[in-house]
Amino acid sequence: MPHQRKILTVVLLSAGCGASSSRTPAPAPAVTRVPVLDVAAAPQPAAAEPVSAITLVSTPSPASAPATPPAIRPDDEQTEALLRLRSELYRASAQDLAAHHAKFRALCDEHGYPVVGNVASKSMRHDVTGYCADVRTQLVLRTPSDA
Amino acid sequence: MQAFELTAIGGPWGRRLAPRRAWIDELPWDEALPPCVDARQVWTATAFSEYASAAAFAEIAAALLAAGAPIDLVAAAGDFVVDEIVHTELAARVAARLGGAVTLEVDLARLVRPPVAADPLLAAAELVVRTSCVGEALTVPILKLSRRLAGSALVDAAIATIVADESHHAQLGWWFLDWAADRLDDDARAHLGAVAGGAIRAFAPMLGEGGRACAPSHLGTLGCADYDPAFAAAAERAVARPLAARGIVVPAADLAAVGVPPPGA
Repeated sequence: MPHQRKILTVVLLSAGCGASSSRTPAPAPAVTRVPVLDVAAAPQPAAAEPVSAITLVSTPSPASAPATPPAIRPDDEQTEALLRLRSELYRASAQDLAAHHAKFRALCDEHGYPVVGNVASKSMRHDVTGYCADVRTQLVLRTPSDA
Repeated sequence: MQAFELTAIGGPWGRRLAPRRAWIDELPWDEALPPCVDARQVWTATAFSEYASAAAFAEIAAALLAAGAPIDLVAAAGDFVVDEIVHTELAARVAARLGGAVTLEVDLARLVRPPVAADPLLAAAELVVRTSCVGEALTVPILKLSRRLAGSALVDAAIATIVADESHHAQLGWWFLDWAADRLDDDARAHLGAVAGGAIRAFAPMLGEGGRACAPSHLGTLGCADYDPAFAAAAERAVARPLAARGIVVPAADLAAVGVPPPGA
């Protein structure tokens, strides 16, 4: 049986970006790391394993739990669907969200082929607040004839 | 559509690839990095872009063979497949280091837009222009900017290596066009200009703020304030100008779609 190793692992994450300068050590996030690629270890015969895993990584540790109940429930009490939606909101355009696209998609040309090269480095974060603002704007701008 | 996933099988195939990817392990993976959704998305998309580029160079290698291109050029195109696969792994590992890849839906049956020309030489030229003369040529200046603003030793080192390889990948396009110059007539050059224009115009939806906040540039991501002008400059300097020097004119409307001002403006 061939040995397969996970290289690309899908993770849902609710945390935003930290400081832009990361040369100084940042506090270790409460994450559950998934071994993505163990290149040092010699391959051992093993059964094929799933090539993708979904792991929730923003579960707060008990030590860091606040004394008072949090206003927002921690991620481990949220449904997976809600966490996925929140992650997608960061990336999706208003048009995508309006069309109810459920996942991120690679940027493609009009025929569905990926754009060429490696230049999709533009950050296009879209948070919940921004999305709701966009929706409100669209509603305000609608005229009676659009309804 | 399917979720983008990667696996490695190891054994003799892993050992065969090992010398080409050994440098990845030397990068500063122990650097403390903040979890960042933007960067995770960008590096996941990067992994897929590199994967699609590997497919493109595999197609180019076959097309160059069919066109009777110089064998060292063919060998380079085949070798670039390995470069892109290594970049794919690198990007996936950076995404993992930043907190994990996001779910990215892709269509692996549509990785490379097929050429429309029936003539083998022009078909090869289409693939080369789209991939090397546009895609790879745009990639170099954009990644250089990403590197400058990365704010991370790991991301800096990762991008530096990618840029060094992509520079060679872009050069293949210019060398091919110069070799084929005597066999490309005016119609062929006009066709290739339209091919380049279409590839450039496909990026237009990425430009502008689109009602979103303009995020800062870091960890390999570029905010719109940095990305948009850099893209327009790259399209003009790294693509349109060298193509024009070879008699291949990118339609002005396609350049305008990504913010390149008309000549004389």
